[in-house]
Amino acid sequence: MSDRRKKITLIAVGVAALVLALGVVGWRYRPYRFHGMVMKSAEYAPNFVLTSSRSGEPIQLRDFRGQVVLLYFGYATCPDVCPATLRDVAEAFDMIGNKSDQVQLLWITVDPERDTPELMEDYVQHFHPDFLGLAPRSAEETLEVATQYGIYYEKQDYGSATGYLMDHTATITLVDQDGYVRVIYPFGTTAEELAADLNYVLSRW
Amino acid sequence: MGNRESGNQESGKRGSGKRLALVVGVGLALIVVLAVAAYLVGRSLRPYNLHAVELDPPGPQIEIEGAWARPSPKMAGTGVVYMILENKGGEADKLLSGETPAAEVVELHESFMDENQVMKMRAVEGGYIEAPAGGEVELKPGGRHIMLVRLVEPLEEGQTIQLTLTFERSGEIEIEVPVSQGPPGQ
Repeated sequence: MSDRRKKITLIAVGVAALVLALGVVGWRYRPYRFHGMVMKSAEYAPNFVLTSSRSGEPIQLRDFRGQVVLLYFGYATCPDVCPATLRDVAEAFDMIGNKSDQVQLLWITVDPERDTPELMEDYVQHFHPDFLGLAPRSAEETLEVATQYGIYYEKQDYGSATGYLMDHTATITLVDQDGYVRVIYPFGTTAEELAADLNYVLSRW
Repeated sequence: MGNRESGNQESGKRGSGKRLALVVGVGLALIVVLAVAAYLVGRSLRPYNLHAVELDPPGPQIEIEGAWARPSPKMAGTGVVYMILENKGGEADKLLSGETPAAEVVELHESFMDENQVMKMRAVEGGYIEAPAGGEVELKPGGRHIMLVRLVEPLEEGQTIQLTLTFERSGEIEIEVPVSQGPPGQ
């Protein structure tokens, strides 16, 4: 009886140790959790050709293959949400240090009527010297690019002294080095969260 | 046999009757003692009643905490101010408008997101921001904020701007707003 009890105790201890060991290993190799909505698409991120606010030359998304691209759609008159987001991205760039060379923020205006290339360049430079503004050549081009990325925008004219304001989807889209949309970040994602994800994506490839 | 039995039963009944009376008596006495004790303890612990009527601070009492303005790009021409409106008074107040030498127009706005992540910005509902009695309201990025339209000059970090806020009841309150990348103390 006592021998049997010993056996049972030994087996119980063995099973507990095994479960614990598996737990530790599982935790150690747990999948990374992104701080946004993870996308799994077999298609490349839709390519587009827009005009660089810096050089005035056409630039396409494909030119950034090998780099991580953050796409953000906004407009320069936006005082609250856009600056808060761009400031967070700039802070994330500072946090990951030199590695930010492998990340490109592209800021696409949804207000081409008012956002001239000069204005856009001044706007992005205010937040980070490496940010790049992209201007469409026409309103149709804006709509086409935005729609491809599920970005909605609409002019709202209700009598603000700014003339009008824009409703717009306030997400950041992360396109990885291979050209796939990987993560969509909602408004309010912190600089720390972005930096952690960028570090992860940059360490994987 | 039968007699003895009945006699026993009777004496038993009489005995249990006495015991019951005793228990009830002691019980009642205990209840009385406990009640008196509870009354005395309660009396000694009761809050002192001031011989005057207590008053809430009369009207609203607005204090502005942690105000900051975000540095602005040179050409865009719009700016933003955030703060916490604290109302220590017993009655609500409403922030109606603002004025600053730093911009031509001051508007009270609210950003809010719909279920599709679409960010919208509008003038605040009713045209005012309410500071509830004894409460506070935070003006912060992605929420309610004070928008500066047509800045006279771009707002630069380290600079301070003057802002006069007009409340429905408290009247004008003038504050100094530091231009910084985040709330003071962060």
